[in-house]
Amino acid sequence: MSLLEITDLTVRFAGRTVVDRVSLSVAPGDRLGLIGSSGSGKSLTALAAIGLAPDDAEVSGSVRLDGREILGLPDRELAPLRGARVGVVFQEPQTALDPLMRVGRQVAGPVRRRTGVSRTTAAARAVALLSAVGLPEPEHLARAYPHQLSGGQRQRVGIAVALAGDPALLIADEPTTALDVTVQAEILGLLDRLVAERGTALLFISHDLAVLARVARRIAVLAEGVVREEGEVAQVLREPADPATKSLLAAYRASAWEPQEARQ
Amino acid sequence: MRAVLREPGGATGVALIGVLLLAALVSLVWTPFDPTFVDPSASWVPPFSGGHLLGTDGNGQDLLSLLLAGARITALTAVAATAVASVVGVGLATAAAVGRRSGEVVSHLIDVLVALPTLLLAMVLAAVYGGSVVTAVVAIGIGTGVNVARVGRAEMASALGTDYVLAARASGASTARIVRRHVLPNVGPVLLVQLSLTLALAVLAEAALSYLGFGTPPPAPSWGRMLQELQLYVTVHPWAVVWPGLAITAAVLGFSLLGDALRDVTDPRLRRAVPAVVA
Amino acid sequence: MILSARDLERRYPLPRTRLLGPRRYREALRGVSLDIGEGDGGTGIVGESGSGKSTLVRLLLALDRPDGGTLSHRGTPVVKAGRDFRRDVQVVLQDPFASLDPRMRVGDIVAEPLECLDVPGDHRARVRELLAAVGLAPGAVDRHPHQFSGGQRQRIAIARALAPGPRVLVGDEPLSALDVAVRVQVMDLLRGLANELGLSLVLVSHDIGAVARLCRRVVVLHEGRIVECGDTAEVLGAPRDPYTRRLLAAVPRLPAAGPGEE
Repeated sequence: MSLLEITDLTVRFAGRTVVDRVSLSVAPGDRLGLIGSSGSGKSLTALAAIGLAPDDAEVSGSVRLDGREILGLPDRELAPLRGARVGVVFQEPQTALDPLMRVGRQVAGPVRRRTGVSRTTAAARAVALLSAVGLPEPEHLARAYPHQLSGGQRQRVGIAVALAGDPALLIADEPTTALDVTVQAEILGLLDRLVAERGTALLFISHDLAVLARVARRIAVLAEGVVREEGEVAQVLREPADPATKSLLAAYRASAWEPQEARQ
Repeated sequence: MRAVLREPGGATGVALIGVLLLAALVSLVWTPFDPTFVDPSASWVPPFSGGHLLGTDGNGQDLLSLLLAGARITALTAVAATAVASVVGVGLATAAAVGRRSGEVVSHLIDVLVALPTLLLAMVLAAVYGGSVVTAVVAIGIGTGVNVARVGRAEMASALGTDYVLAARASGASTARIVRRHVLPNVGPVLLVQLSLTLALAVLAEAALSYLGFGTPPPAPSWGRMLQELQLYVTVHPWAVVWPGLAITAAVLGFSLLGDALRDVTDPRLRRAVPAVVA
Repeated sequence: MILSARDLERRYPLPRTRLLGPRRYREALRGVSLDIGEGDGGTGIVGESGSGKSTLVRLLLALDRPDGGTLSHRGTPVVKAGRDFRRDVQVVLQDPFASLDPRMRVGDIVAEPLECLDVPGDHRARVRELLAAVGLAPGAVDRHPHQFSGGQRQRIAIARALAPGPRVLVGDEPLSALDVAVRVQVMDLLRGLANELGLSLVLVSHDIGAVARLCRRVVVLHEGRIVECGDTAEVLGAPRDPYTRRLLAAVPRLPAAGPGEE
């Protein structure tokens, strides 16, 4: 039984159909990567599925979480689901983090909402989470405000917040695009490890093929709002069937740097 | 402009301002009665009687005529004060945003001047030079001008930090050219909003000054002074004081609504141009 | 040597934590030396955030003054950038949405350096020529930036930079904000123009792929200092500095290609 089942999801925005009858499914523990160039609808698909599409977007289709239809549910009912079953890591940590709240409290929030433990227990768990995402001196850092942290540190906090509710599914929307290459490598390694340890399913969105290949097992290629190809990462990259995939691969090869050893 | 008229607030605002300007212009050539004509026999005539649409005051002066003539002072002071405010505001803002060391000094100057109460300044000027349209215009102009400067400085500093200004510098553009061609046009809409709100403030300030006796001296008709004179009789002849009060309210409301509509029209357009979620 | 930087230093004051006592500074650049020669095949400056690359770009363009060291233009130290300097050294910035004045028409944007630098000749003809050189239709002259895509705006920015006929074109992450497919096109455009016009490209980027393709030499910047420099192929193939090695190791790559590939 799949964890997230998206069927014929269509999103219309500003008079255009940005997502056109997209169907995807994520099983528990699965790792699906969504790739496409900007404007392909990849971010919007994931966000619309959990009710985070912009207010003036028209969303139709079916989205089932744990078998239950969640598309069109009012925010009142969706919000608790989002914390407990689905965690989201955004591209800009600034978007996800409250600039006026200390970092530790932000992580503790979902913990309390999910388990209802006391504030002290939640705070302790928050520190544990901050440590799990690789932040140094977590007890001190918990008292910091987002602007006092570096981009990489903020993104680690963002991951901690997303995982705080112990969700079954983690949606990561271009989580490393705004980060330096070395920091990106660390964050990807972190995500890989955490998701494996906790058995969390992962829906990873990126425009970068190599980044996606690092964390995803399956891949879905989106172009102009339509899923053009889907399958195991290694397979799709080895034998791309759809022209959209081929052109993505070609563009990647034409612009990326491959270390000499790989070629020989 | 069309977008402003589409907004209900904007249309109302423009209508009210239109009435104000119309009243001021018409009064230059015609009023039902001579506003300065004193007729003791027609003292305190109620509205809609004896040809006096709004009634008369204690001296038998026709209230409607006084109102129309008073519109002149209101409109003149508001427009002139706003003109002074725009010169002061844009000038100070540019000096603060552009100069490197001197900019900081001007910036601090703006912060200090903003704390200065406009009406107090006006009263001091009136006490020294005698109350008149000029002192009111100068005082209100400076008082509101520094507020415009404060907003303007922030906007200009932000515009000067953009990449297109950097590119212009790399293209060899002089500072003057950058301010003229890149900063002012991009900062214009925000300043326009500020100026229309300044108009509202100017109307209110002029009325307050006249009410306190520091504005245009008699016999020039003024809404503020009308308010002050008529309020003494509010228990006996309540309808009279309502007219100048309504007039002031309508004028301030008109300019405020226009300012709000301008802000709604210029701001969200910039925000809606970039979708919140880029797929 | 068109541009020569010697021991450039730039520091920024840190906000005061105590009212009295010495002012503390953040060193953005220290001891940076660089030579850009005529037609030198392109110089890449690789660095992450905090490396000082943005500061270096401003110093090389004489849009900022160094606190130490000198920048020389054709042998003469640059005190204040004159017209000769600006004609010789131009820039393409990172964000195609921010580097073009939204209220100006494209024709005026591209013509701006021609006007400011008093370049002789028919400006309108030159603008048409430039737009064609970057692959844009002549009708673009009357349109506004928001009517174009990111890649097209970057082309407009390139056209503007080429207007005064520079010998050095500095690119400050010109490809980073672009889609992968568009990136390839703009990269090809830059390479083509550099070859055709004998331009010296100075590409400041964190994108190793772009640097590998457009620059014969590469300089690695880390925390304000140059930690490694040399021939691109050599540095990328056999990096000596530990930071360079860490940087290159962090670049994500596709899983090794199978035997049936390519």
